Amino acid sequence: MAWLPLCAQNEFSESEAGSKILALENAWAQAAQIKDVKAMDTLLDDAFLNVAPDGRLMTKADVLADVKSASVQQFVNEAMTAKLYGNTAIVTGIFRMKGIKDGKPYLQRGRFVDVWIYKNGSWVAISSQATPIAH
Amino acid sequence: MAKLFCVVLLLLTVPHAFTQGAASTQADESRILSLELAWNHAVQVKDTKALEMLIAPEMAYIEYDGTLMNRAEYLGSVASRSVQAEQILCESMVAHLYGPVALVSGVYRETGVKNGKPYLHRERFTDTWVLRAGNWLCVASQSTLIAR
Repeated sequence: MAWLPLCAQNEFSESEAGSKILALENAWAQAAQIKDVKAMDTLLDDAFLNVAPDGRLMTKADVLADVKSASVQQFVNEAMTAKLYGNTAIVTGIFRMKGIKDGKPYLQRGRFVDVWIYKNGSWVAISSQATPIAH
Repeated sequence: MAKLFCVVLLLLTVPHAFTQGAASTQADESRILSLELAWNHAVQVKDTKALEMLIAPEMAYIEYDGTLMNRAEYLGSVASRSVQAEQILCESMVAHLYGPVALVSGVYRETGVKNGKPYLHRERFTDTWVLRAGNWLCVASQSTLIAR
């Protein structure tokens, strides 16, 4: 892909892009909650890499398979902020996930950083990492 | 410590190859990986001056326990006497360039002493670097403990 200097090829204003990306973050959380693999497929780049809260490194295929098999009852994002660097955006925030694993209910709260790139006219996530909040 | 400061300065001032096409991608990736190693060393020797040159003013740092720190808080934690990182080893580290932004992911093992007690952490990390005025600066860094 040919890259131009920062902002030279942007088709969007910074505030528009920020709002759009935060909306995509919420769509991602919703897709995880309702097991909408198709929606998630469009949000993640094929080269997407995820670091799960237990430190596992997952590819896009791993994440999609995980969404299918998981039993998430609620997935909500809090305190998100997006920073734009040309055609790349970095989102930091907190997620709260409630569900059932191995027959037992769980509640997990963690901090995340997601990186998005603007590619072929749309934003796709290329990286995500989650760290459980210990206290 | 002065030596490390000079190494970081040198790494930062080498003209970046971003505008020179795809062939230069590898050079930028190598440079960023060198900056990662310089960062590890700076933490070990508590060289906050060198660290200041590597991280952007707006950097968000997420510690392995989920604590969110800004740049000043992070530098303060490195300088703190309650924690002494004795060894930081990167087991694997890969850089991917997306134009003026680079992602570095990897695993590192850190041993040290915290509040008088020895510790060993194995963590997966992702660092996001941005090319700004010819220098690569880290804007986000996050670690997650690897469950054993």
